[in-house]
Amino acid sequence: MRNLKTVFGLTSLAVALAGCYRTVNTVEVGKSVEGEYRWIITDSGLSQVASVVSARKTRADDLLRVEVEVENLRPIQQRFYYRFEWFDADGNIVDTPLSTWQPQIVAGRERVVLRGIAPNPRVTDCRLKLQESSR
Amino acid sequence: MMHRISPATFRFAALAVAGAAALFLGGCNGDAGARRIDEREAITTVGQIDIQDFNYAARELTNKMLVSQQFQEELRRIKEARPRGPAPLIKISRIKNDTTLKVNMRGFLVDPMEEVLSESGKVRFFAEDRQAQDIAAAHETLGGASPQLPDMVLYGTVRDLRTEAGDVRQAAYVFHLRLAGADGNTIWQGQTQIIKRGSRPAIGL
Repeated sequence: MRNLKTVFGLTSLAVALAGCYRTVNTVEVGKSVEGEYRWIITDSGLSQVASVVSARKTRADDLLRVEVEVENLRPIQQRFYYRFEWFDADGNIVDTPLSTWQPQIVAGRERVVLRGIAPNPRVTDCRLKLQESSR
Repeated sequence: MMHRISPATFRFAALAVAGAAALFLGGCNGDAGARRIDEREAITTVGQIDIQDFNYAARELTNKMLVSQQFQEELRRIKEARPRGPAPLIKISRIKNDTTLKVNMRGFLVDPMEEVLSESGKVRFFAEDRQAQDIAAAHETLGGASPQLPDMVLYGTVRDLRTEAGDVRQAAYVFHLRLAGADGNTIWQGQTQIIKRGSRPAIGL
């Protein structure tokens, strides 16, 4: 009798919790990459498992183009988010509806190239934010 | 040996199941804990194109178009033909929805692209609003300039391919855009795809 009640109770709780489950990721951007790639910002968690191999900024057809190569230092697949922020000559941010966080997957020990193109010719500089994904 | 379930046990079990069902069906579907989020926290589904998928596809296709040599050459050619004229004009034609989803592909895929490309100053877009065109026609009737014909037409297709293996579901969404010139030939075409995979829920459909 008591066992039966426990089984019913636990099953009911499991069903209720399954309906309420939501995944939340609230990792904050913090630590900056020192030196040459100071304009690339990552969080401390991601900086331990991935590193920036190379980065270059060029200008073609009036538009700033950025390529950043990131290497996964671990042998397992890594997920992270990235976002390019664009700035005009006065340092004001140039926002567009497509300046959003993008998910990226990189296989173990592999490299991936993140490409960004400035949304308009007024853009003179950029910042790349990288953030570890917990899902 | 069989156990008989007493009426008290049966009542407890029924109450427990009913309570859980009420929590599952009603309690969690409300607005409790509602808050604004950014795309990092957005729900990812297999069976639908989520907002972050549209943003990704729009961004990839915009970037591909902006770096396309053929597109840049066409812009230069139009500018040389009209040195003091306005920026080339693009008309957005049909974005065919070849998926099983009822989604406004134009609104979610092309409208953000239109905003970014317009802000770039490299192109302008044909106003689809009927009143805007009526006003342009009225200006022409009163001796004003003729409405400009589009220099290019943007059109495309969104397709999906769904597959299943056991409890695993997969959906591939392919976004394909083409840009045709005034002569009707394709100047640029770009494609990007998103593949999503997930398992069937243990409970429910």
